[in-house]
Amino acid sequence: MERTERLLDLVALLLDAQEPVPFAQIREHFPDYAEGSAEAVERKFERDKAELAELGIPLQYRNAEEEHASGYLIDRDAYYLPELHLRAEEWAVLHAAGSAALASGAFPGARDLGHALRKIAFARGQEPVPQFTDQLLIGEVAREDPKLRERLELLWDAVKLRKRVGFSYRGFSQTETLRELDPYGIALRRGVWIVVGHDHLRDALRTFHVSRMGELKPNTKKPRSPDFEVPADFEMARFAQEQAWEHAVHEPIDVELRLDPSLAPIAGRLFPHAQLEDAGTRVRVRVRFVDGLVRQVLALGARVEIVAPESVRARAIELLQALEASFGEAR
Amino acid sequence: MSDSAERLRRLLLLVPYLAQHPGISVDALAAAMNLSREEVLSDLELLPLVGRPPFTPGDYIDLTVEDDTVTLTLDQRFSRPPRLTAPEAAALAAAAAALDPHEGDGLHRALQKLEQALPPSARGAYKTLASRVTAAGDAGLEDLLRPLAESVVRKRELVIEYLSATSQEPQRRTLQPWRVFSHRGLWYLYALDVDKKAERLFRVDRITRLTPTAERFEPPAKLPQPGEELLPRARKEAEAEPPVLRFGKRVAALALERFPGEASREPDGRVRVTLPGATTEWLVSLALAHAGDVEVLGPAELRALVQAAVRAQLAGYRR
Repeated sequence: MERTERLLDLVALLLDAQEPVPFAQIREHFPDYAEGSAEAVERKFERDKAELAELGIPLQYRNAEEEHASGYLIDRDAYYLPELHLRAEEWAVLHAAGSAALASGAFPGARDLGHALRKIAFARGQEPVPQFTDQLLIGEVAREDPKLRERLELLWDAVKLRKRVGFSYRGFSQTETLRELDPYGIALRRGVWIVVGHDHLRDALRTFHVSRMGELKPNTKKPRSPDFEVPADFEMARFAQEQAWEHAVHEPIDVELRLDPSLAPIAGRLFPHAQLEDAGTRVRVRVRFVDGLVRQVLALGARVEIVAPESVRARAIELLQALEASFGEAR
Repeated sequence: MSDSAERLRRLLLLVPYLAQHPGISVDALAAAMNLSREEVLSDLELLPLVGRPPFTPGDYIDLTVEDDTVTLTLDQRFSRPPRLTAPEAAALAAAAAALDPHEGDGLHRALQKLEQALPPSARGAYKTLASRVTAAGDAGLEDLLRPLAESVVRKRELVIEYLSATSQEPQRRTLQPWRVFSHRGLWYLYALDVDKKAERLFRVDRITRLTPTAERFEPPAKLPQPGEELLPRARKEAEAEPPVLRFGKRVAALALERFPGEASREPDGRVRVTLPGATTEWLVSLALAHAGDVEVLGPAELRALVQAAVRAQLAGYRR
């Protein structure tokens, strides 16, 4: 008997049962549970129970009472998806966000997400299931990195079950290292998927680009027992919002920028977390990686200028002069 | 999740769906389940084997596939799908986070209802997972992405004030928003400019004001493939000479990673990137951002533009 078939038969039996079904009776009906030693059978049944629990189907054990023997059942009220009472416009935007993530081709937990959308669509009754749209796309378009989808799915499982992962990594320095990571969280940061966790090689909290990972191997030992705890003060949101100039490269310094008034309305968007003065034309940024800020400023053209400190201003000039000089060189 | 559990999860949804849609075609079923035709057929093969003790003929799921349509006699036990699991709800919340749900808006209310529909024992796991996996990584766009998404989905025109690379003042535009997407770290809006009667691409971070309207529109039946709308110019007219940039060795790996389809390594280790159809604004800012590590090889107009931009910035610093 195939495993899926056995599990589905078991759900059918227990959903239908009027009273708890004793294990002896379950064994009788399922030849799979009748073969082998008592311990082997118990292990098999426990695995099946755990698998069903993962699908949101808890098998309950009831002790014997006057009117019934001890045994298992599935609480029907807890099993079925309840009415969600979503209004049409709430469902429209929720569905849009969900299908936008799927449409991009790579999203952590894409399979879980797909199921969630289909279940909710079902619960809404006879109205047509909205088609997955490509009007909205969240995430990197996966055609650029076909392995991204697979890696994100593995990382999602690892974050969910708190399992350690091993992978080779080629960072900015181009040296390849082997890493063991306790993945705490995953985020889409400015269009790039990152994973943050405890890196055993450096014995510290580190951020990795998912697209720079080589083959990813989750620890498959004891799949249902977590390998690590996530520190209580860990906040993924902080890493998700980190800007290029906020990467911890050196001690923080404050940099002052002058913005052309035309950019003032979007100053907060160009320099998140910065202090805005003079209606957005003067911006004070706390910087832990100077080049990260300088390059953002250069990309914006002549409408932004670094005012202070002199060393950061000099760095901008140095880079601009290098680019200017490149025009004089042979092609 | 094991393959057998994943398959079971599909079946627990497939059976009630079939019961609700007697005579559905295999293809329509595959579309509704977001599966391939082969996957659906393989799942359907398993169903007639599923029964309950004592497994007499009447105890099996009654399924017929005839003339490519599927009929299932309703099995009362599987009349509705199972509840959402914590990871299913969390994955949806992680996606919704990109649109920044806020107290009082529809998306926020939807997520609250989602959480309420979870069994109480699963709510803790949901909250934890949803806080650790997120697509909300674009600080500052919060006030734009959600109303934009809503306008796209509800097919309503909107009015924006837009600061283009060249304008000193934001320009007012009335748009039919066709698609919102992110590419290489930037969010874009692909829309019909109603006054100019032409399709245009807008950077979301340059929108200074956004006003949704009640005016309905019908988007084109078929939108370009995701990513293709980035090349409006290339679609309309072949470029005589595509833009070419060369990145130095220090950033060679980054260039290869960022432009996998467009980059090639030269014998000396530098990387040549050819970017047909890219917008001039984006190319100029790309070159400026990589000052010191990049050369603009061509075409001549692009070289001139970057050179002028460099001089303008340097002039500012020399004042």
